[in-house]
Amino acid sequence: MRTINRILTVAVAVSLAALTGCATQEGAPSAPPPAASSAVPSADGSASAGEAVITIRGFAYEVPASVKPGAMVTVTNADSAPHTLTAKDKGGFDVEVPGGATVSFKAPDVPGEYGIICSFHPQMTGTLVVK
Amino acid sequence: MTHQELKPQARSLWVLRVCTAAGLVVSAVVHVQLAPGYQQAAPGGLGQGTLFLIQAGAAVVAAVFVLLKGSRTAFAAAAVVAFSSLAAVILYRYVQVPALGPLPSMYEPVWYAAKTITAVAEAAAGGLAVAGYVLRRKTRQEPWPDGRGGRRGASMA
Repeated sequence: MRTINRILTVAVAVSLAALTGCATQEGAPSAPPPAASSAVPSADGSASAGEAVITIRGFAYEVPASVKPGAMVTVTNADSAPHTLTAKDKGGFDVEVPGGATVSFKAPDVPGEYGIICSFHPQMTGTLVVK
Repeated sequence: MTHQELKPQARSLWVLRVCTAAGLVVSAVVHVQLAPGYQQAAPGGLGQGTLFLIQAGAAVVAAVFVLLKGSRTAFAAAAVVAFSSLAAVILYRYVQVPALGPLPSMYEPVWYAAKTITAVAEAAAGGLAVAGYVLRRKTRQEPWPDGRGGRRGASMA
């Protein structure tokens, strides 16, 4: 009986340790600053000009044909995995969108084509056209 | 023999078998749910989604094995499947491993609910499987919980 109790105690301890470990691991990295707050591109205080919606579904971006300069862009993540909408080269925007969440950011004020990528899943790419 | 008459060791083994299988099944279900999306995320080589389905299949087989047999081999198989899955999820969370042969690059530097659930389930299943393996080893001379080879009917009154 003592041996059995010892084994069961160790089993429970291992399970609890695993739970605690994963919870700890999850805490730091998955608590980024709110996406919207990190999303604002180089600021200039101009008023937004309309709204646009980007949907992330099945690890792919569904981007409107174009958005207006300085427009507020809503990003909805329909996946359970988190994603980011990050400017590849220029534009300076970088928003993290948790699974099932919606965040918004301000589109660049300068018209142009901005390459976008998910920094968690580099296969996910697209282009945001601002004009 | 009723459940109340089972020896404590046998009852403990049953608990370990069921809990180990449950952890493996949770991991399998999450992997199946995530497979289609991750196949798009990392299509290189076999593709991450295919690997998720292979993991799910292995987890289900190990779960059934440990439920039906409950032998040391079954517990060992369950531990191997659970800990190898856990090792993979932790490795690809923290290390940017490049594509290796049929394995695509699966680096994903973030934890989220489904990923955490499967990691916890795998850790629990692995720990419980090791406990079952040890306990089974210590009780291998004892009769099986279902009465095979034991003092059948000894406690019937």
